[in-house]
Amino acid sequence: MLKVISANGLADGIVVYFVAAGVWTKEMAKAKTFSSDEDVKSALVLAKADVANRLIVDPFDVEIKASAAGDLEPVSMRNAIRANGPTIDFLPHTAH
Amino acid sequence: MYRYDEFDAGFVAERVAQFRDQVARRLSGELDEDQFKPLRLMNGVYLQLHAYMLRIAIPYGTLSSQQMRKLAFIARRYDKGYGHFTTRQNLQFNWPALADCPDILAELATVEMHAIQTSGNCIRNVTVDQFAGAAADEIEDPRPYAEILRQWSSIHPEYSYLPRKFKIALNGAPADRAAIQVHDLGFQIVRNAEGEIGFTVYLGGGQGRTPLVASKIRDFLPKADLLAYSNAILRIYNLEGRRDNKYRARVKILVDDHGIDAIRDAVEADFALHRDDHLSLPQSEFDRIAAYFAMPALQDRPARSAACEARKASDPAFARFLSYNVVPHKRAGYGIVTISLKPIGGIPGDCSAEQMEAIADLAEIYSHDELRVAHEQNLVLPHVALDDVPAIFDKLVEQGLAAGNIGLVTDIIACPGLDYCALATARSIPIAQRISERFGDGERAADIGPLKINISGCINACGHHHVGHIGILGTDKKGVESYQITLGGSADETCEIGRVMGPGFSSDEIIDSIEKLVDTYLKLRTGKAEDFLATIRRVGMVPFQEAIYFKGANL
Repeated sequence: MLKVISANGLADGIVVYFVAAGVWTKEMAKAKTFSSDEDVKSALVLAKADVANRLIVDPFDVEIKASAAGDLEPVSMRNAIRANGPTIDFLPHTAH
Repeated sequence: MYRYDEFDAGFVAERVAQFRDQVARRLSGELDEDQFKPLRLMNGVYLQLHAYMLRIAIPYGTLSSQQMRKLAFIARRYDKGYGHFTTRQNLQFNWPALADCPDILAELATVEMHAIQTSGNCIRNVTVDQFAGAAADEIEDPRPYAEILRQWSSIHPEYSYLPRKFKIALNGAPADRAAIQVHDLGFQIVRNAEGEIGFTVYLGGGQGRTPLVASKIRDFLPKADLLAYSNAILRIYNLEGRRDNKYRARVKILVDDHGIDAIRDAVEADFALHRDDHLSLPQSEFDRIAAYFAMPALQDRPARSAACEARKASDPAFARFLSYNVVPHKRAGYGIVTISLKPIGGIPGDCSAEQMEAIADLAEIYSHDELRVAHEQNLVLPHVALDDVPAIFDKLVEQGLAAGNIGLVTDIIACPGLDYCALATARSIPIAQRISERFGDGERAADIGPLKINISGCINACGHHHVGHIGILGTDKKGVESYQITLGGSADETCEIGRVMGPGFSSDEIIDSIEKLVDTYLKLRTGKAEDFLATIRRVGMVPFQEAIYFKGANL
């Protein structure tokens, strides 16, 4: 089992990952990983303190795994899309 | 267009100030998320997968150029340079910061817009036929009635905490372009034997996990009784609708559980009791509202445009645009131009700030400053001289928005799906893009003819899959996207819920399966005049099932 803790920033709503109490990163690769249920539970307690401290909202644990290339990636597609952004070319292109 | 009076302006300004204070209190910690969430939802602010999402109301889908430019400004200043037009004629921004939302709402208020009642268990933005006030086949413009309903239902104290959300749609022509029979409450404008205008009223339609076609509750409602009758319906729903189970709380379930006859009796009894209380529409007030929606002064023009005909003869892409995107206007020499937000391989309903501004310019120059949003996620220039269509087409080519595909296989409705939505179980947009690329913008799509493909990324059915001629529902099967096909749905006046064909298909398989369904139709049709839906209604589902499943297996 390998997990990270994710949430959304309170003021901007952007997806973030837990690094340490009061410290969150937008890059999943920089998140702290947990390999036991107990560690996840403890981290969620710290995350909830950051909810109270108005840094983030809706923290939850995300199961991750090593990709073929050796990078860590979320197991579920939903969490992979949260981590990597929409799978489509959504940003506007200048008119030709 | 409707213009705010002092009351409207004061009310919207007050809501912006309230929300500014609520956001400040949330950011300072005075309000926690549980306290704040219902407040932000009342102002159209959701928290989605990647960020907050702001849903902006476009009442009955009518926009001015100035309003469209303001949306473009907000897209650039506060978002990532684009917005998404929805099946409820609204606009969603996918990336606003919560801290910026009060400023965005203040910007909107300067052009008489807001996000009130775009979420929550209240009466939502009232939608109408996108060709309202312009269509050649129209009986009467439904927008004045929609505006009257908007005024009546905005922060109505009795209807701010309904059992569940409540969606009203009105349609002004015999052809139903507003999908009224899959709304909680639908009004079809009709003329009775005496020549009087009124409404046929439908109640209890809807999609989601329990799709139901609305039942007719009244054949003819005099127009003066619009509010009194709506009030009776809402009172009965508010009293009798279930509050114990979110999935059984919509009025469609009430109608389904009790039967339309019992609900009609209850509504008529309440209506009889309160009809003349205070909600009868005075003709003078109706006339005052209707004046805002008067047809612009259009010059007389020859019915046939030589400029259009000449271009049509020399330019196949323009000919397709003219054929599929331009429909007859009430006035000879004019047309209603639909701008497809479904470029081949594009994201249905998405529009960049630059495109919004270009479209606002087109509306200002060629369509008396008016735009509409269609529930099919397209935009409309309602009052265009046919002579101007070539110039509009050329501008749309520059913006990548000149696809002549309205009503064709590539004019796909798709919800944001798992690429954005916290509720979604599968992606919708990439499926729409791949189908669009498979069929393209050329003769093939034209030969296939009218065919509506609707895609939803979850059972909530924001992509209207239940009423697509071909509906696609994305589900999550043990962590893998699976796409279930429904066939034979329709949102028009012959409204039907599509039937599930069988087991779902993987993302890799689904496009081929859709193509097989289309090829089967082409083989089975009696001729080009028999469209996809007519063929299904004639031959049934079995030949289509045989085309995509092994015979005998899973059928």
